[in-house]
Amino acid sequence: MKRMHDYIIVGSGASGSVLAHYLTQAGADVLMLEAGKRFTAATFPQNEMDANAQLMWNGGMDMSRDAATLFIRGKVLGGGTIINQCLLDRFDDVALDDWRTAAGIDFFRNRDMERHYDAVESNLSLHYMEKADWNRNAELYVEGFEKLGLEWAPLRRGQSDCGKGNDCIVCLGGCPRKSKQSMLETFLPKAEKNGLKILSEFEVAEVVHGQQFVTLQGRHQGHPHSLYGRQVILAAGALGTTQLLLKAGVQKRLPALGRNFHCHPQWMTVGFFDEPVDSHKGAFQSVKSTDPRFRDWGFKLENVFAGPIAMSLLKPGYGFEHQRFMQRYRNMACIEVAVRDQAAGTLALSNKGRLVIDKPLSDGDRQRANRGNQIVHDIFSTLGAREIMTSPIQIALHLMGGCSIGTRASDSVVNEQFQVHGLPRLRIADSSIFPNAPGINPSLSIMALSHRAAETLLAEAGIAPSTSTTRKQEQQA
Amino acid sequence: MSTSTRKSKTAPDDFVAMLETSEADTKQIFADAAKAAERLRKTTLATRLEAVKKLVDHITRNKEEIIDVITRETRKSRSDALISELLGVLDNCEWLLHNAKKILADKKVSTPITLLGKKSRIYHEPLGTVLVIAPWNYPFHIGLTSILAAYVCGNAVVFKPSEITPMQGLFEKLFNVDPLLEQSVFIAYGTGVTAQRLIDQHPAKIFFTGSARTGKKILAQAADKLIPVDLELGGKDQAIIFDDVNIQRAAKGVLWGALTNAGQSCSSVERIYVQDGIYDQFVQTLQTEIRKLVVNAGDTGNADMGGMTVDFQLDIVRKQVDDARAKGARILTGGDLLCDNELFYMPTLLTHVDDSMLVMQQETFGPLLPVLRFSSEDEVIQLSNATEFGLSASVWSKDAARAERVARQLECGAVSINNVMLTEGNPGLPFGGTKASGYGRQKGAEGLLGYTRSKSVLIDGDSAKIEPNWYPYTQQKYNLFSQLIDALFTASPWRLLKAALIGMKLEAEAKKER
Ligand SMILES: Cc1cc2nc3c(=O)[nH]c(=O)nc-3n(C[C@H](O)[C@H](O)[C@H](O)COP(=O)(O)OP(=O)(O)OC[C@H]3O[C@@H](n4cnc5c(N)ncnc54)[C@H](O)[C@@H]3O)c2cc1C
Repeated sequence: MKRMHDYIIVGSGASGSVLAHYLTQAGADVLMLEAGKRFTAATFPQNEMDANAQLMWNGGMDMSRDAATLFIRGKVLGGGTIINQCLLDRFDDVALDDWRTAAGIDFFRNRDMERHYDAVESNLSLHYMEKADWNRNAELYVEGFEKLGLEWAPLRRGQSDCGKGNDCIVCLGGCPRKSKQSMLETFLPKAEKNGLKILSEFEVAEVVHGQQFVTLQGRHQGHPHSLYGRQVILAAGALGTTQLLLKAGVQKRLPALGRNFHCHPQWMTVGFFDEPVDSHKGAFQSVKSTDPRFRDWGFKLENVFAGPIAMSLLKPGYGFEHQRFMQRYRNMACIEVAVRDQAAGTLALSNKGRLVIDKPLSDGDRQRANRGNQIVHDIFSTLGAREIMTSPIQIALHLMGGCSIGTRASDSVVNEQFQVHGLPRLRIADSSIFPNAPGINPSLSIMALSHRAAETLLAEAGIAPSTSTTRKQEQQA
Repeated sequence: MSTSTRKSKTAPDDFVAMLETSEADTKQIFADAAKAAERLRKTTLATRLEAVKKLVDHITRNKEEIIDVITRETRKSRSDALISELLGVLDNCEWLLHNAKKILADKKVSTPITLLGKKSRIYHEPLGTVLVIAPWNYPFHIGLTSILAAYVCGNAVVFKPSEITPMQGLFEKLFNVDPLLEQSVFIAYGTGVTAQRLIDQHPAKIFFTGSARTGKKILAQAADKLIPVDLELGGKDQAIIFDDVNIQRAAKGVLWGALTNAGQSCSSVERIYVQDGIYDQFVQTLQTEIRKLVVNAGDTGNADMGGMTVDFQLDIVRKQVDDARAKGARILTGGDLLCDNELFYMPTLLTHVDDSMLVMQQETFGPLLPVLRFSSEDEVIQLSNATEFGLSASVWSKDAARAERVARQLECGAVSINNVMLTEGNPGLPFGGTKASGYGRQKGAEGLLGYTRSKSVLIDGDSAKIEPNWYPYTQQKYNLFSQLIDALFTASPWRLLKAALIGMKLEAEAKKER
């Protein structure tokens, strides 16, 4: 195998795959390394337990140091996009203005970002959920919102054709219908067609930045192996990328490394109804809150549910009580509060090199959560729920920050060129560069930033963004 | 200090264009050095050691900047530069500070009974102006260790760094810490042409570290002028691993010994003899450990192995591997460059090697690990001694008696037992080889004294006393001397008493005129 590559991308999620696409389209030599396995629509695990074990880091059980928050992140070719819900939203002015202020970077405004959103969206099949898609859980959500006079809207989701009779909750373990617009169905196949080489089951352990190239040392299917890239793009997600930089020992020079970690913590509330709700059937998520007051108050209400294993984790305790809880699985309706967390957490390494996540909630964040949970209680009460339970466990799916973008090495990790300050051959455009929590689904913006990063890299290399064919032919000649 | 005009072809393109030192300049340098040597004769050791103290301080405070220069010119990994170059130099300085006084002090030597009443001394005097010619593999450590030893002994030093790693300006800045030091060391940049011009100026002694080929040239030129030369040349060092060792540890040790500085050390492990019983497992362990290595340079300290410093050395490595491959060697890792246009050769593990291959005959000076099999102690001693080189070796065994037995029988200048290249880690141990690896010693008391000339002094008092062996020779004296010999060299409990009595008679005799 070739040892030296022009670009090596670590991680195949929203960021890595988009970069791979645009770089290979321009004819660049790109290798992608992914710790997880490669699955296809046909081979995804068949049940929730196997999905957790085979598609997620630590079986989907990464915990914060105080064990109050559960972090879920994908470890599979396609990264988080394989196990996520694929709701694809652009950032609003609120989010971008906050970023511009925090990072001091001028392109964080809609005028500049629009081009990147357009570009990545042109590769995605986007669908606004219709009334016909609603399951009972969604109907209850809308009924409640209307009764309380709250604003809602249909969700925009990346899906091509989910067909009929699907129980969409399954696709959180990998969409078997080739419909969900994960990287595996969108950017990755295009990139592979353009010559992207992928090594799955390659876990990078260390990144060593040198004068002429970067060495990546890790294990491929359990065996130690080193690879070399002129430019290395870390796209291992907020936790993965930050961990690799922490291991590289650059924290002294980059004091912001590991700071500014956010995660949109979520609290699920279950309302028990006498009639079956069957939230697990049909389209799993169809509507969202668009009430402007919620944006001010710093939370969203999500129309969600979860598989039986996840639901059982929400209920503390054992025995009969718990059994009774689970027996009523079909009668559960569910709404979740997702908080735009203000207090930043920190990522650090333990003496043994394990990632330690500190994510305490500030009083402000707790107030945001309480206010949201109160509204959910009001909704379920109005709807006549027999019993309402808010889970004490916080779940975090949107892992962001740790390597914030900015202009100075004193308070950020990467610059506008997506270059790690002082380590010019290392690039990052994934969720780790978020300077704060946007309060909006992150993945589309990760893709848009990665598009911009690809443009930056190609411009530096003097390659025109997508005159792919001519360059490819030259290379082959 | 030194200047010149002519550009050299051998200068690597990314370095400052190399200058040759002109003939006129070399003359001037030696004239100035002679004056400096004169000045130094009037200084005390304590004064000279002051400079060493200041240097330790300066190097410690500026270590990152110094490492920047070293790694830029050599392509070493940063840790290699820190540990082998900086730490190596500082260790040696420390050693000088603690030991130079004792070693360089006038030595009292006992006086035999026949010379009763007199005192004997050895003075360790500086040689004058010495010439130090340093190599490119450890341009900081080897250069500075030699310069400082020479200076501490009171010599003026003319120093020619390798044209491949001149590190222009670095040494000048270092020596600036002390005016006397600054006025006593002269740096002459250039290639072999400059070296020849410098030798023409008749230095008191030449200290050369480098290849055997250049060593021979220097020796030939020096022979004509009767200039003494210490030669520190290449090696083909063996590691001998008996089957009772902790395999993991021995493999990690050998790996480091073979690959530190990308194998560009004169005492790199270049032949690995492994005993039958653990051969396969040892090779397997080496292979796994090699796959864990991080190759890079210009790193921040986390790369294991750096690059090759010069392309001609890289060519030798490639040629040896190609030759071994063609003759049936198996290449288990590496076997080629990291990529074209970069001076990084991948760590290469070779098995099925034999004496017909260049890799077993010539020095490699690169990241190769040829592994050979042996069955008995006698066999491995004989096999591993069958080389023209003899610098250092390592012997690995749980059986201490066996390890020592083998160490004594190896034809080389240093042996590490259950460790590798570690004699160099102790500045008190002399370093140097035998056979084609050169002669003379650096470091340790022996090394330091190599920068001095001993002067023997016998001290008697002023008196009226006439020595019996002075004229006149009389028959009586003859008889007494003859008796004295019999008394001294015939075994008897009264030997000394008898001799003393005869001595007294001789003294009485000496007072008489003929
Ligand atoms: C259940 C769930 C639902 C979600 N729903 C949505 C949603 O609806 N909308 C939305 O916008 N976002 C959603 N998200 C979040 C979204 O998926 C992530 O924000 C996004 O995938 C992050 O992209 P990324 O490229 O930064 O990292 P990831 O997508 O996490 O990709 C990182 C990849 O790097 C790999 N990796 C990590 N470390 C290493 C290493 N050392 N060596 C090799 N490979 C490594 C990982 O295995 C992973 O595949 C959801 C997340 C989850 C878990």
